[in-house]
Amino acid sequence: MGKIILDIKNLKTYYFIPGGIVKAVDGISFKIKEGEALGIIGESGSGKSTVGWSIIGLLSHPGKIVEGEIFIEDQNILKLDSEEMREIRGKKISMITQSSMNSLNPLMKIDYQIMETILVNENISKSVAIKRTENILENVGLEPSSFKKYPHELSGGMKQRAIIAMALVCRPKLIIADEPTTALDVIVKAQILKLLDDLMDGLESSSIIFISHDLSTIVEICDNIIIMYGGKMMEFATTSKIIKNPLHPYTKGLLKSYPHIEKEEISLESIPGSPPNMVNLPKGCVFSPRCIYSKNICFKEPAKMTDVGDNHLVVCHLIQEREVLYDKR
Amino acid sequence: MIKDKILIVKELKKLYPFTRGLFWSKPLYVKAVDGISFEINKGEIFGLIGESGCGKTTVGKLILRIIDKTEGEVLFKKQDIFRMKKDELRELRQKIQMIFQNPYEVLEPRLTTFKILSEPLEFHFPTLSDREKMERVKEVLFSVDIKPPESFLLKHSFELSGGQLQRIAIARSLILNPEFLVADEPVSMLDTSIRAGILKLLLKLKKENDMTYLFISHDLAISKFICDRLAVMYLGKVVEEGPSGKVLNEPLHPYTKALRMALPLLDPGRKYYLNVPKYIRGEIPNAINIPQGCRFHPRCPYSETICSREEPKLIEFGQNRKVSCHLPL
Repeated sequence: MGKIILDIKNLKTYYFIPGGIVKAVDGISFKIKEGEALGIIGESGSGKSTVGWSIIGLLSHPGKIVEGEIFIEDQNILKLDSEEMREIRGKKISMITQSSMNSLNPLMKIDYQIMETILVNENISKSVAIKRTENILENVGLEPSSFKKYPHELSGGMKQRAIIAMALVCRPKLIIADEPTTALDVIVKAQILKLLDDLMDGLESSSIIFISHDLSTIVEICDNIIIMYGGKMMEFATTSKIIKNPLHPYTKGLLKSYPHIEKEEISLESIPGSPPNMVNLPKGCVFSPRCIYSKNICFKEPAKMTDVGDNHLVVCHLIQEREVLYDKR
Repeated sequence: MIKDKILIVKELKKLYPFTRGLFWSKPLYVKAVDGISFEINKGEIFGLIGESGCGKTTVGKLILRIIDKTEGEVLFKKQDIFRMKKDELRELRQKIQMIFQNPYEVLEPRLTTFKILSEPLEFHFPTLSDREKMERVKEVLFSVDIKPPESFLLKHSFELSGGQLQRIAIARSLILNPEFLVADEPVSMLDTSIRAGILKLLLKLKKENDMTYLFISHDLAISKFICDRLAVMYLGKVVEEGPSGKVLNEPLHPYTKALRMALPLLDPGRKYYLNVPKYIRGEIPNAINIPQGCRFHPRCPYSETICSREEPKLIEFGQNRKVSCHLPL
């Protein structure tokens, strides 16, 4: 793997609502290399989608990036005006969202919508664009008979394929997939994941960010995983380290709350309490009220990031004492 | 020992008519539930699993008689619920209750928790004094782990988290001391970290109150965790039935096997999704033009000529298991 495509430094995105400030993303930093698949996992309200919207520059109204830098291939995109940002969107970054049925224009045929994307972004003739549209639609597994259909004539899985085609047609460097399979049934979900996996093999230089609440789906496709909670990063590591050697208490708890189907006796545990109120975040470590290990310091000071080796990052006060603490349980 | 059968469903059908065009078209039917039969023993958790559109929720609604049947019988304690008169039905609604999928939508936002929980009591037991009602409401809140109950009595739904809302929704279905509970995807809208808590609560309540559950879900891993027996539905029919561990880990029907293959296992780098599209083709067809013969044959990897000609029946296969397939695995 080669050069760095995306470099986010200390990103802070806040929503200014009448009731206060929602610190949806509060100091997140990470990098993505060429060809890498990164997963961002978090519960509802953890700020995971806001990371995606911040990168593509389409934050909705009360949201604002208050601090930080986002570099796409050495270009700080937060310094660009909206016209320049339009140039980047589609060509360099594209996004696949959860509700494909709502993102397609119901009044336009599928192939026309995709061709339009090409014509807006690239200076090529219509006939070339039509050829490319047909190619990409075939690549995402749509039958030629459905190219000229309207969105309502397609099933959820087919619409999601069309959205993926639209996101990929200009060969972006970075694809942000925000819950790309959540609304789909398990079998269709597997089909879409295979498609994304194949496409990534085809577009070797493209990187992809998977944003999801469902760790189990993401684990088998991503190289690295970021665990988010309350707008902050809790843990970052390679996928196998996250699964085999989770170090943050939240990651540990999350893994225990997935039932394992192959084992005869299944144990299932939940994390006590409920996700934090984002307007009124707990002082100290955001996870401390729900953490079974928390000590005095956890309620007072925010935890710092520690690298425990091999770029395995953990944000927890108790990381040095982990062996003693975790053994007790 | 002959087990006490609390609920018997016989050849139940629900067709929704609709017309295409204005006058001259003949009516078409959406075959939501197309002749299914199963029996639920007293004290067990019976799972109904399948993808969206397979009719599992419709079955739940039919059992409560929220909607009317087209054909067939539902016997609750040997009484046909579709022949019940108004006052008998009123009694039935005390004994059978339902938990719905989305706790954010089912609770009236303008009512307090106390009002939400005491309303069913007022309706069914108009002679209860305020004090008795209060006692019962507190008792039920306590049993769903809403503690201390007093501090929640005057709260509205917007003041509560998703997990708390689902607990209140469960409390509402328990307030009349039902014997049978239909739980329709009770955890699918909740964050992973709090799911396990709700599932364990459902198990605890079942034990304490000697109840029987029909658990409707699309999630295989959760169904394995909570259900004693399972029926797998496909396009309005049961394709397989049996003890949950057996059905999921040694499936007899190719569709069950496909569902099982499409299940992520938190195994980094395994890429479960690669094999699924090789095994099973396409998506669920709509419930209007159901394929001739076995309704799964166009997608089945093993289908032979007989499959497209004759519809298989759900027959006994080995111990306590049933399958509807010409060529069981």
